[in-house]
Amino acid sequence: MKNIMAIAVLATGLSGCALPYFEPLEPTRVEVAGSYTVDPQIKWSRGKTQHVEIWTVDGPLLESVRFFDARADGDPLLVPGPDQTLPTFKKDMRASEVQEFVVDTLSASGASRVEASNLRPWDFGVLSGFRFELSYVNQDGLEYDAFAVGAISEEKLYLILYAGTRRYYYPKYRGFAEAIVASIQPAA
Amino acid sequence: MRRLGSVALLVLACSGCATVGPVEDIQPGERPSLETDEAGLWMYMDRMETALATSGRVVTDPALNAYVRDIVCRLSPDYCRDIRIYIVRTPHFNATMAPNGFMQVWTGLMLRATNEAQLAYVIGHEIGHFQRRHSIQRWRDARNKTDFAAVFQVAAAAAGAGYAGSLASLAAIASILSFSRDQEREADDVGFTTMANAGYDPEQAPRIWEALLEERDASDKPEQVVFFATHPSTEERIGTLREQAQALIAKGAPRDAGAEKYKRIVGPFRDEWLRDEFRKREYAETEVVMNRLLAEERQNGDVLFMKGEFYRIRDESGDEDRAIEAYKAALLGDGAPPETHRSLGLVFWDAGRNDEARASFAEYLRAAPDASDRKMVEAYVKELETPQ
Ligand SMILES: [Zn+2]
Repeated sequence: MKNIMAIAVLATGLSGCALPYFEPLEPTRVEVAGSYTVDPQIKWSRGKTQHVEIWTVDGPLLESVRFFDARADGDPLLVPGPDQTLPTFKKDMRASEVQEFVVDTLSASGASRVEASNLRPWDFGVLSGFRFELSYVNQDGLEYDAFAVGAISEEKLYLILYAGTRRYYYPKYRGFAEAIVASIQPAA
Repeated sequence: MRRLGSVALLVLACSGCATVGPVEDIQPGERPSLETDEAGLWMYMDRMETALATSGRVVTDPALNAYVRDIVCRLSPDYCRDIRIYIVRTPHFNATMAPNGFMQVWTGLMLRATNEAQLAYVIGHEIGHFQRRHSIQRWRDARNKTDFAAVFQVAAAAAGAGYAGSLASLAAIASILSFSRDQEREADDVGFTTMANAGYDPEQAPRIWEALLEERDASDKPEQVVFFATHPSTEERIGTLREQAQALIAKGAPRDAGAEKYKRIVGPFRDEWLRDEFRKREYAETEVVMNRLLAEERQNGDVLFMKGEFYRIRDESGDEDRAIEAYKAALLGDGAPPETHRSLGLVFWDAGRNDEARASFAEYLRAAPDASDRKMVEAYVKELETPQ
């Protein structure tokens, strides 16, 4: 019977999103994901989990900017929970396939009705990358909007995701999130 | 995922023993009186129902819901007002019935049924559990055993926030609603009689079990087929159903399978539900599902496109060629979506067949001039035009 309760606890959030410790972040240019710098624009709280750095103001379930560490061939986007299989990144993926990879990862992590649209070329700092918009519903039935920007360079995937609850928090910080992803520069 | 089977089996292990006294069929419109243990059980189920209803897992499409509701009412005009249907978006073959009238039909079941009669049989089976009050029998059994507290905890957890929409919680609910083998046989009987009386082709009843057995035999992890964990089904049951069906057909029973209507109403959801299947990464099972759909509609460009998608996503040795073949067949069939060209382009590109990739992407842009990823695909074409 213990198994059942273990599942109950595991399944309460999206996987890989176990909440880290958050600390204030000064709004000055900062290195993220160990590979590039961005201008935060405003005062965010910053938390780090394995493979992803999360910035939020009102709480990560309401809105967040997520900077994923560079993912190499065979890596999942998130750390899979026990008995969980997550899709993995392949080095020869095109933008369309990265979009599928992100949609599949969200779906496998408990989101439902995940839809992606508007895939288009987009400059990720100096890299020619891509961007797409997302919408999904979490396990509590909360509706989210999101956008993702990314690029593949030297067989590694760089990805940033901004997500927030549809009605209020997504639009509230969207302008700042846009400015952040427009400010990407290679780390010195 | 591995836990799924074991959860169900664990709970099942505490049923199947001596039943605590027979109970009478529930009457239409009946509610248990407040001081009974049955009312307590209903209360838990009401909470789980509320949690599931708001979880984002429920398919809300009005036409699809009306269709399934009509099947319930055609099968059982008496109980149709007491039963509330939730079509739950989850890629496993299952349906559950709670004593308070809360019925779940999983999209994995609707994807696998190839006509209305097959779905009607499974729904009839679930109505059988409701009518015969199997849950309260099962609840009283469990309560007399040490596992009572555990069942109680699952009920409480399943009603908790955030948990309701998860596959684990769906499995836990299913496990609480698992029944003894005798109860399953009884529900089979009710399901079969009900669907035959409603004029459905009785031969479709064993068909849906056969399809499931085929999938289980193909699976590398057969213990994970959720439905078999909660609904012990055997070749013997199929044999019984087949004999019963033959006897009815010999007597001139009506044979409405409702295949056309089923395709018309359920068909628009098939691609989404197939993609949910792909995401399970249990490819051996999914290939069986895929082949069954194809056997029904060999010329259907959309199903052939999804076959191509299956191989492109599985990406095992030889799958590139299989995908290309399926996409090409899709384009020769009826109604292949424009995305067939795009997927074909991606596979050609991967295979280093750049000229064919470029031509396929260009064809996609012609076929879907307003596609939301137009700019990206234009960039692909440009990249492929640039000499390497
Ligand atoms: Zn049953």
